[in-house]
Amino acid sequence: MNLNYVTITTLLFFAVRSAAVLLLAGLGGIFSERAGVVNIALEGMITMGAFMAVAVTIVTHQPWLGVLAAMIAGALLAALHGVLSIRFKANQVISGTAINILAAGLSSFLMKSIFDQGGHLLLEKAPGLSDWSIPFIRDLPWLGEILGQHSPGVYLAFILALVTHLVLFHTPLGLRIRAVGEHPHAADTVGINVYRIRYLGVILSGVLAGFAGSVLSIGIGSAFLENMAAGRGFIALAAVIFGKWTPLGTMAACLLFGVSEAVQVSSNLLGIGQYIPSSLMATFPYVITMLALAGFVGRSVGPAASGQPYDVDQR
Amino acid sequence: MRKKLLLTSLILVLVVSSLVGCSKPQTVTMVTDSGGVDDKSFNQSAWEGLEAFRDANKGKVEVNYIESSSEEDYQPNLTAAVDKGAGLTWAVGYMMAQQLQDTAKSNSKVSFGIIDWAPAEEDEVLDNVAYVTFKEHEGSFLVGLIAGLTTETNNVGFVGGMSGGVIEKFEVGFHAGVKAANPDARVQIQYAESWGDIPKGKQIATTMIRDGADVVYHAAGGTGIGVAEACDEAQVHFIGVDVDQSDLTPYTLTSMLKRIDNAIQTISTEWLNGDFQGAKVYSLGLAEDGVGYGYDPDKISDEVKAIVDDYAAKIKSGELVIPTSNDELPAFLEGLK
Repeated sequence: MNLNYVTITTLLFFAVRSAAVLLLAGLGGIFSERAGVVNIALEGMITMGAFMAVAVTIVTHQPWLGVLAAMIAGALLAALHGVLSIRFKANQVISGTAINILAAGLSSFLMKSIFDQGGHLLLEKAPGLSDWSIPFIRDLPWLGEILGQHSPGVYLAFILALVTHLVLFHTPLGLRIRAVGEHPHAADTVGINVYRIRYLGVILSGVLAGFAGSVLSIGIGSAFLENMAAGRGFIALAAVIFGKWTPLGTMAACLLFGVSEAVQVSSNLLGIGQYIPSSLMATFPYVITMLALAGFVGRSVGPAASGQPYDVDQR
Repeated sequence: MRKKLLLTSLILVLVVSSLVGCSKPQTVTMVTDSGGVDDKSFNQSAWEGLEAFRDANKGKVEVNYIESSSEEDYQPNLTAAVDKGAGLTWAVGYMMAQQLQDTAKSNSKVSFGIIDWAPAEEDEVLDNVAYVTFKEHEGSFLVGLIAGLTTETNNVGFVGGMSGGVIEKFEVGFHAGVKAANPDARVQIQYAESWGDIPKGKQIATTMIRDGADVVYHAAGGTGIGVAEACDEAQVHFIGVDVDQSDLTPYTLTSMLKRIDNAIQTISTEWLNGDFQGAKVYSLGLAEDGVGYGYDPDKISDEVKAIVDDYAAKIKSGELVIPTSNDELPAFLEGLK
């Protein structure tokens, strides 16, 4: 093992950064699932957000407008998912899968038709989001290297995790969201508008996943690449499940997955590559999720009504 | 009545279009992999080869392309190419191998070519297919020499896409080149296990650079964009792959070039002249102009170029054989001493 100050701080820096992208999408997953709609389309929303962020930033040279566009793009895809699965009571997994395919095709198509580019789209002269550097923290040993300077989205992800926790468990709105996800009929009888809460949850998930996409393309990187979400939407869902549908649990799961990703991509540099193949390490989040679902890592049970369309007349 | 009219006209269209197809046997069509024809990579290189072929045979040939956006498109696109009358159909990319084999088998009267794939022992070798592969290890060796001669920290990096496959040739060729030019240099090697993950590429390259690397080469597809970003930020040398990637960062030192354009132009010309060699496995290296490196006089000094060209001549003449796997590497390095 080749462990020293530089390798450890570098590793943890990247772990935090990878975790943040997963966390943003994961928080989206929580809002959607807590309201009773399975959102397997996070992957597509990240992809679309990543594309819109680059596209709008290239045109306007305003990266924060790019972030806004990414959120809107995610919200629009989410609204579509909402209409299909709430209004038309479509199977939520099928609707989500369709949106993933749509997002992959649409982003490539738009890239080609607007920018006459295939494969990837570079920001080139347009500026990406500049990093935030945090006073005091950045001067500390260890912590400064790990947390002192990051893309704004990284800090916002962790702040939003706390906000989501407060909203879900300490506000009337959170109670309503949870009620709708657990027992929509009961919620309905006490006067909660089930459909409205579900739309809210799904659209919030699109906003957050779109934001995650923009962090990927103009925060951490400076380009859009076809299918650049690279499975992060699914790993985020895995983190939600592993985190038992709670924001803080999901945050912990994302950090764990972030560390595993960081270790995987520097396995040879750390000198552990010869013991464990890096391709095997890449499967870690999925294995952990299966174990969680199988009940090895504590019981993991989702909101009772998640995945079921709400039908007023059904008993 | 209306239905009948529609049916008749449809049949008419079908007959006419198939007749039109038959009257133009000199069509060459290429089916792209995902990314499209202007992907600044494989597809674009292939299309440039076909365009050069068309320009060299003005009026005698027609060339066109069909773009695939996903794996599901390969089969219909290959079939469409044949149905529209292509005498020679190119499949750009090994991902299409199975579909190409199937299409070629059921259309034995027309010719096909595939880039980057050769039949393994269990695969059927078809008489109407040209299999084109490249000696990427030779090109990687040359950029490895350049990296070894350029590094000031005696520390260079290699980022691979997926481990356990074709990329080992790139890794070992590069490693051998660095060591041949600079026996003291350290070569950091890491695989991303992904072809399309920019943050992972950036993370790996940044880690290498923080650990002292000042030249980083990649063979990682889209993941390589992240490698270029990391080099750009740290202002260290980047080495591109497959095509000239100097558009990714001004810090591009050189690129390992895979001359898909040359291959497609040469073999298409052979086909036009009636010399098409089906069932042949082409393995194109430096001697066949199948691989090379990007030369920018502002980045590569005359001294370095002279050394690289000297080695290239030895490889072309067969005097020097570049290893393709990590098993062969130690013996090769021993032989250099």
